[in-house]
Amino acid sequence: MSDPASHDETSRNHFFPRFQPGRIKEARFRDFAVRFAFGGTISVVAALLGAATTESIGGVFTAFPAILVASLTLIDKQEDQEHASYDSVGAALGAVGFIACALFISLTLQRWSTAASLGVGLSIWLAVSVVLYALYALLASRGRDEQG
Amino acid sequence: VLECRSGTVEVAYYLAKFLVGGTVVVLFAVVSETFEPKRFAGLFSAAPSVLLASLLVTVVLEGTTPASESASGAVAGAVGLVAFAVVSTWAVYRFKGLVGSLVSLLPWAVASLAAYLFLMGAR
Repeated sequence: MSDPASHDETSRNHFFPRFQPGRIKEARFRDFAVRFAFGGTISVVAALLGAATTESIGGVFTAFPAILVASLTLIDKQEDQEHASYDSVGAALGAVGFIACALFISLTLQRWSTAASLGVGLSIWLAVSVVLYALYALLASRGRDEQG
Repeated sequence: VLECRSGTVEVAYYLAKFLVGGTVVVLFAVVSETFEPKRFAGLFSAAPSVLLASLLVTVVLEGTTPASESASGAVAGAVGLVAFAVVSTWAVYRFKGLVGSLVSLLPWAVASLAAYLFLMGAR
């Protein structure tokens, strides 16, 4: 890491997303079970709150950070706090995409077919999140270059 | 809505919410696990998995009107999610994972409530 010759390469590649399907073998079944339980539970809680109050209040809880809490806790146990903090950076960008996705679906669900509204909504989440990540990576790697 | 449903239908409704919610969350987690670095994989921690799963079940069993209401509430919840994630980048570093997450729930609640009141007022 401290080798000056490799500095430029590592800082550039540090943020570049890499698809590594082999990593899935390292993931533990228990972690997925925890996420399944968190995801299922928050879905039921949101539905119960929606039924007891209004659908829109239930909807607020479909964006409850239960999965993030699960991820942060799992990361913290396995790795370290710095990694958990990194995960939060990505999540903050993904959450902005979530706003765009939910807004789009709320405006189109009654006019478009369900598959189209949800499908395009999901694509909007992905597009907004990835574009924000690219901007973040660009700014962060420039910052590193200037520091280095 | 609760009174209109028979007991069996109600159990099926919540069971569907649980199973579909859990499944979609795991699907996003699987995708997240296959990406490096963590900051990029973190995007998937804020994926609209529970929202999409909930809406799917609601549309199928109750129609698009309540689902649309739910999605508009989710906009407010997502504003809270941004607040949660931003604060947790600091809080997880400052405290341990679980405590850091719990500390971050306060800004989640404040931001969600403020956004909800704003959105409902704007209607």
